[in-house]
Amino acid sequence: MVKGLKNEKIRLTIENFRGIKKGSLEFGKVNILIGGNNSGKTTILESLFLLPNPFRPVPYIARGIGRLNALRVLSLIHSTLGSEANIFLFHYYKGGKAAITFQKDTKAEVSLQFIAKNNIIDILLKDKREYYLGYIHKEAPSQKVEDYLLGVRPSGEPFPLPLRIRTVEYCSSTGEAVFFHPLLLDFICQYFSVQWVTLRASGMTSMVAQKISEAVGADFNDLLLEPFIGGSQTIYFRDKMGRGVRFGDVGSGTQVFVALALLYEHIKPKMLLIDDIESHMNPSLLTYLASWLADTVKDTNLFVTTHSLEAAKILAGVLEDYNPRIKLLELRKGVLKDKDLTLEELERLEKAGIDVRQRGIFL
Amino acid sequence: MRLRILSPPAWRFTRSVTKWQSKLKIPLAPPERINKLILVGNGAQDGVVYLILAHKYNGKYSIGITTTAETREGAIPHIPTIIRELNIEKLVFSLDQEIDELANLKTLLEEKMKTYAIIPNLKEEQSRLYVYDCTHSQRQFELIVAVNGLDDPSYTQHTIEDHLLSFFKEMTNNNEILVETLNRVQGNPKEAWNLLRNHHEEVYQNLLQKGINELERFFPQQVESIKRLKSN
Repeated sequence: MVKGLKNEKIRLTIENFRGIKKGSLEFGKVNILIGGNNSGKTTILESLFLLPNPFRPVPYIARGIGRLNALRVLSLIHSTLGSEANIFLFHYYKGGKAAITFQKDTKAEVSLQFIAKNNIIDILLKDKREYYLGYIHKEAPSQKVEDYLLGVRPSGEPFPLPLRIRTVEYCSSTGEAVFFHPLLLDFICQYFSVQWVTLRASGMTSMVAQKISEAVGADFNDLLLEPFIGGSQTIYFRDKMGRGVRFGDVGSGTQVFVALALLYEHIKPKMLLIDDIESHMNPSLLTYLASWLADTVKDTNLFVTTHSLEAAKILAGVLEDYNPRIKLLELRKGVLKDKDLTLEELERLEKAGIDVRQRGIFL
Repeated sequence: MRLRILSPPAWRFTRSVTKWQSKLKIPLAPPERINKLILVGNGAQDGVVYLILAHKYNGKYSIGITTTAETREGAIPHIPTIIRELNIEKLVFSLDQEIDELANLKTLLEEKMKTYAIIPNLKEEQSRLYVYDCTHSQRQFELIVAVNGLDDPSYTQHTIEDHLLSFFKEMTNNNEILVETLNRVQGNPKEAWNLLRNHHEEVYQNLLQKGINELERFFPQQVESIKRLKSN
């Protein structure tokens, strides 16, 4: 165990939120979520991502939209054929009330609530006090942050609670949460381009370029933001000979590693949420990523999802000092069930010919 | 009866059973809880045979099937994990006799069970089929050991392929191909079956045309084990 590491306990309860009708799980500092498709893994990450405040601006910029808030990131990920509507937050789009409740150790409980009424969804956050964060429309995408600093709701009704004026804040009891998925790479690069001066000045770009070089056997020594053919700006890896390779032209695993590392170093979130961590990752690069996480996440709660038992074993092994929890998940008629497995149990079951990710055999 | 394959997807056993399930259009069980299981001690070929037999044994009852990282008696140390984690009440353990004497093999299996804290209480014995009431820790389960092989002296060892080759002989109504093939491999049924790989699909398709009673002539201990697995 890492020296000075507490045995952290997080209790997360979800009601009527996306695919989960009901569920309450206990997590630790490092959590590896496994399970079949539609077992609620991503929904757990999404609930944790929204929890600190769905309206806070997050490090993603979408072309044509601009800086995104946490809610809009999820709305865009789930939009199908361009359809966006905030009713996607509720189990089977039924509306009513959805709640995400979080308690870390003995700290006060934090509860985020979405309450649908007529055509709007009120969003409330309760930590030590209860705040009204704002409203969104059921049938439209979530607006920009400033749209919520309104005096009254469209119906003319007053806000149900005092407005939390600084909607850009995150809840201090949860800290900031960063959600990472390879689908978000373009949004992240757009954000980096705006933050480039800060990233370069902090030395992060050269540090991350050198790290990825060790991992993939390249000789990059920095990342640059410079014009490409045609004049538009792009991010380059620069090697020791001074040559540049565009970010999008290196392997996808390399892009994922670099984006994740830069994002983490820039934001230093209290919760790092990585969906499908094995995406684009060769196992040797994943091992390197796990080793970077082991050095990095001392002050962070880590939640990763994976479909790969190989990935789960790599992470659990490399992060062993953090007492990682391998959590097998299953959704049955919307009810979330879980089972904790140790690395030894996972390996013993595999040798016994049991693939733990199969639905309905354990839970 | 429908099978649910529980082994990891990348294992050869899973790939092979899935390939034949797809080719033969045999439906698999839905992802629901199972409490009965076929544990295959010798790999993919047994898996395909049980896939066909279970399909022919009517009903929508779901049964799990898997194999372990170790073969034959090497699978026994994994039985406690399987019983405990999956709440299995009845287990068929299928393995090849190979060159062992049956009595010696039975003793070997029972000794191995005891080593891993499984207390076997033999309640019934037929030709190459042993039925035990077992206790492990506080759990009780029925273990049906089906040993593959036939009393046919043309095979130098006894495996699931004995059964497939005897069916092939009757299906083709031509003993010469089989005799010639066995001569090429010094009577080894596994190697003979491998040499006949161009006929595998034909054999499986023919097996699917037969009724369960007729299949029992060629696979007596395997069919009996399935019947017992189904019974309460």
